[in-house]
Amino acid sequence: MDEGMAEGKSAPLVDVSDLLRRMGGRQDQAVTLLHEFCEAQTLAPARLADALAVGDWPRARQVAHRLGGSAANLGLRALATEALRIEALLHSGNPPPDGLDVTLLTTLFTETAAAVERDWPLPASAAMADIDVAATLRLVDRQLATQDCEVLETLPTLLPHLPENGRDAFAKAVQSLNSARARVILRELAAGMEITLD
Amino acid sequence: LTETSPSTSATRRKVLIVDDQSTNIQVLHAALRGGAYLIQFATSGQQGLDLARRSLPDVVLLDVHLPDLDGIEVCRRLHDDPATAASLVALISGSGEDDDVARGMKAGAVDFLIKPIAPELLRRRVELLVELKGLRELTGQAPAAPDALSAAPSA
Repeated sequence: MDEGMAEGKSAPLVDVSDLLRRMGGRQDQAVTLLHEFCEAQTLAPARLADALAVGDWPRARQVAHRLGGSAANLGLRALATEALRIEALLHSGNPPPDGLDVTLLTTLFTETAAAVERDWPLPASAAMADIDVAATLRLVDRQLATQDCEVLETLPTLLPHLPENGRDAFAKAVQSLNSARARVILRELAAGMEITLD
Repeated sequence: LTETSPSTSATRRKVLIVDDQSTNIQVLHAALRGGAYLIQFATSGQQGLDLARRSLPDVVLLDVHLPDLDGIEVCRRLHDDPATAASLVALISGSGEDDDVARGMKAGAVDFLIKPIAPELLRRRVELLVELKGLRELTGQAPAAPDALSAAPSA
């Protein structure tokens, strides 16, 4: 158990022990993932409600499935349980039973996002380590070209050395594993720093 | 921070994670990282197929529900393509529905994992799949990976 993530804070919504176990004890990465999840899924309850309203059961099931699976991976058990319950009700692809709505799911998502924001703020930027910036840029470029997950490990060492203009977009592209977009931004940043990648 | 030489990457066993949710990929990567594998990612079924043909992964951890190509269809195409048929596919889903499991196995998957997956279990399952791939290479049922024996992680 990491000392920084106290057991008990928002315990009904976020199983911190479980999340840290999955993340190999890496608190910064765990917190970043929680925020990434909340941002990426912020429209999911509304999309689910829309799909149910128009009777698009397959789409409703897909939204519930994606929300529930990711929530379960991150230790967001209450949210995952409700999302997967809804998914199960939609399993047959037929109209769900009367009374299926997303009120509880919406409430759980809102409360989970609020708990994440309140109890686990994003970590401060990494301290600027002494690295060979050109070599690290080339390493990141290769890792993105081969879609190597290690790019997630290299990213924090590189970010503080990049120009502010474009840094956030680059970090976001890498963290969302959009390697093609990340490479485009990286090349623009490298050109601005007069560093050749090829 | 040191640069990884291409030759080092080439001798490591490869695990390809295919999932459209980046948080899911990062959680799986967190469980598997540590140097034994080159862990690659793809965020769509088609991207997974393209990368698999280029990279020839030993193991593919493949989400069943993908937005473009169904994960089971991706599995079938990997299995039917002589270039990628040796890759061992473990399907991953949020639920272990009998129909998905049956269709996955019929499509050529050799394992089926349910999210959330305990990291210890995931590591062991991947180790076993890598060992199976190594055995198939030794018996000629699969093309040998570069320096496969020395690259295989110890169980």
